[in-house]
Amino acid sequence: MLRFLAIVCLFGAGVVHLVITPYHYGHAPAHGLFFGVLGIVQMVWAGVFWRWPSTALRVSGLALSGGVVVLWVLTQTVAIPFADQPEPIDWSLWTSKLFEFVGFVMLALSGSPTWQPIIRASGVGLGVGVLMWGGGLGGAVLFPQYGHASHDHAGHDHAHHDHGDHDHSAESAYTDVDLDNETYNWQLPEGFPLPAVPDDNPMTEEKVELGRFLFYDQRLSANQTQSCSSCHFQHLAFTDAKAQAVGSTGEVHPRNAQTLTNVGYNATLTWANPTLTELERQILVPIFGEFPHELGVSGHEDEVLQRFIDDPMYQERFAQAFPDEADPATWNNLVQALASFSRALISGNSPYDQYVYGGDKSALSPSAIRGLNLFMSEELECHHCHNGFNFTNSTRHRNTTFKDTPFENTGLYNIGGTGAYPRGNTGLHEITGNSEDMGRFRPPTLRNIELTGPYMHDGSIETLEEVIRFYEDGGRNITTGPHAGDGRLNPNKSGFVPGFVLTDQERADVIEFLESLTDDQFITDPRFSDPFAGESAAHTP
Amino acid sequence: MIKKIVTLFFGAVFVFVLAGCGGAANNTEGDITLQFALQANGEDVACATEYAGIGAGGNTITFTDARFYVSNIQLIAADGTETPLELEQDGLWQHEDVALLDFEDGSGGCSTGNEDLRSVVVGTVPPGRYTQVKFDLGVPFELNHLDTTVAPSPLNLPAMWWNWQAGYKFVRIDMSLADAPTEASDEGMAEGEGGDSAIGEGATDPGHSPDEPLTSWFIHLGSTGCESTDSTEPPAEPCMRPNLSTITLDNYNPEESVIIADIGSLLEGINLNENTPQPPGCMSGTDDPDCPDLFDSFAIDLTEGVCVDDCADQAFFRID
Repeated sequence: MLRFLAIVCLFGAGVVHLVITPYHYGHAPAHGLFFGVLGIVQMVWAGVFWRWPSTALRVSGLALSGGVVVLWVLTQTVAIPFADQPEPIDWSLWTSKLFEFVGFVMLALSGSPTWQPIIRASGVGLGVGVLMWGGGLGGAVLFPQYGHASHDHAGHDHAHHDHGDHDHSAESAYTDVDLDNETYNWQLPEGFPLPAVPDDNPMTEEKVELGRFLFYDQRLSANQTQSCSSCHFQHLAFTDAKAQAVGSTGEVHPRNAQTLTNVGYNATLTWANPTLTELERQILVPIFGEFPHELGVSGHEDEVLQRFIDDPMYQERFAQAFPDEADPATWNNLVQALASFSRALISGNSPYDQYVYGGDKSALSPSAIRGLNLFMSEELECHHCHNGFNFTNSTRHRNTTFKDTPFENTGLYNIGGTGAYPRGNTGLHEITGNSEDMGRFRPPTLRNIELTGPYMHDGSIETLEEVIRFYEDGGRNITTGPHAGDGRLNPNKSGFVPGFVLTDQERADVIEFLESLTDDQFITDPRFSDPFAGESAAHTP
Repeated sequence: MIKKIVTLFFGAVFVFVLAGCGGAANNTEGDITLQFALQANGEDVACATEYAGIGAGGNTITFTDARFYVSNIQLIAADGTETPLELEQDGLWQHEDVALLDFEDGSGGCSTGNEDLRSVVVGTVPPGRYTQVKFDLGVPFELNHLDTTVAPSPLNLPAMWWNWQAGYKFVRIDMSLADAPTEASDEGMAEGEGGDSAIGEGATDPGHSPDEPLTSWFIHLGSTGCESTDSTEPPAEPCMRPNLSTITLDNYNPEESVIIADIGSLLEGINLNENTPQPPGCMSGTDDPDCPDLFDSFAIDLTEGVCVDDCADQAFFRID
């Protein structure tokens, strides 16, 4: 009778262990193997002991049941091999432990009806349990690959379903930057995050300095009349005060030259291109672009590069910036150095910053503070697109995990009431071809906005006050001429530009606030200044 | 003696089994994936898709943003015991006890968003049997006034953040009205006196037309009445109107329940055509005429900023 019950119990425990094997194999292969083998052995034992009872089998049965219970107690209370946390206590655990415990007691009693064999049997169980546990811990150290994969929840992979297959390439490319290679001292303003930097172009002082020379060097244009700085003047926060930029060949650009203020934080580059996210690629546009020509290097690549190869000053600077390369004066390295210099153009020491981050509550006038609160209000809605430390929602940095790449239509045009923008200046639509992208442009930073007029992607609004009035109106109604149409009714216009009402004082307050974003240190910082200033021969032929 | 022990054992086993059968079996081993869905009258919400029959005006809308935060999630057992859901700390969608749900993929008019989507909250509880779920719609005060620039993900999204003072947008659902009433405002836009613009497209009319139709309806739910010197400073004390509602849902089964947030039911009885500017829709302003009805739907008292009757009558969430 007792023997029979013991057999049933251990057989039952074996079945339970086999059932749970696949689940446990999923989260830790070692656990799955253990339960599988245990289940089979328990069931085989039950069969054999039923057919051919013997003392040896009885003792091994004690070990199989008592030992497993002891093993379980140890894993729950001391440590579990091949995993971080004890197994949850669920139905399988209750039933299997109950079977084993009952089976153990039955077996112990079936020997002889005294306490002696029960104590001996307990000794067997305890010894075997401790042995198995010790073996497991040792095995876990020797074969960690069979253990619990603690972060990927294999077996319950729900965590990743909704994540889809989106690669977080930005995340991995920028958060894993090898900081050991980044020798550049960012001198980051208070409250600013580290800019994203591609891991194949870590920032170094030498590269930034080489980039500064190249940025200001007119030999970088084919006809040696322009440098990057010809459209990006430091004293104008790296803009040119023109409505539309003019290239080295005299060709007029359809767009307004943008500020390079904090350009390394832009989620996308240029006025409207969701695919252009790297300065290293954007810089190719002004150098080699033909529609329109800017520096006009296309077709003169070797000639232009040779000017730098031949100059001993550049030989030395390229060698310092790219010390591992035998012939470092290449287009690739030149572009990397320009990108590094561009990323260094960080502006964050305006009166606004002194007020917010520097704790200097006198840095802003009462009017500017009123303007700040208007700017942040739900009445004006400015902050929906111009938010965060860089006053644009098109922002990316090393703490960014999601790639927001916003583009908005502000109702600047609505030619013929069709939603159209002037040809050659249709914004995101030029890249995507989608009609709803007509007139959508990247919200630019508002830092140094006082210095960067004329405004809008085509420089079609002259002053800051006119810009504020434009947003008050909720768009621009052009009543005559080829671009006539009521921009306020543009079907693609952002819902955040419905218009608002300001008193003259309030408008003046908003402008006063915007002017508090001007960073005098940035526009005079010698780190960003023209290295050829005063030695006129150096960068002109 | 032996017989007694054996009888005792089997008695115990019998009682045990009975208890197991009579009591409630566990409905979770401990790993929980809360499934959420954002719908518009029963249809799953996506960008670049039109949804008809929204609100009392029966408007056709498209979504331009659709995200919200949930926090402080509790699973409730049949006996009323509340057990906090321990969120997986994935460094992306979940931080401490706050999780972001994201139903926009940046396509179409969803210009303020990004391609990533999220409709689940992942965490663990002790194995057990849970029949209700409860959560706060939004971000708790302690995490609500961080600097989004340096805050951990998902609290690092500028699009979900107002400023230090006001904190995060707990709910951001931006809608574009495809069929807004268009009393044309052509008249009254007479001869413009505006000067020629820089690229010479002609005269501009600087006047603002009050008749201009509003083509957007925004739902930005978040705390108001947060006191600090100005918008660039976090409040030291909790906001006067937290607007952090607690949602309790019955008939929850961890294995199959989907928690549905339905814009159709939220906006039922609200006419999107009766839309007042500054701002269009409701951004939680106590004096915004677009807010009272919407807050009624959330079951939040607009002037007090707390749940009415434990938010039992909220019209946004339900379980299917």
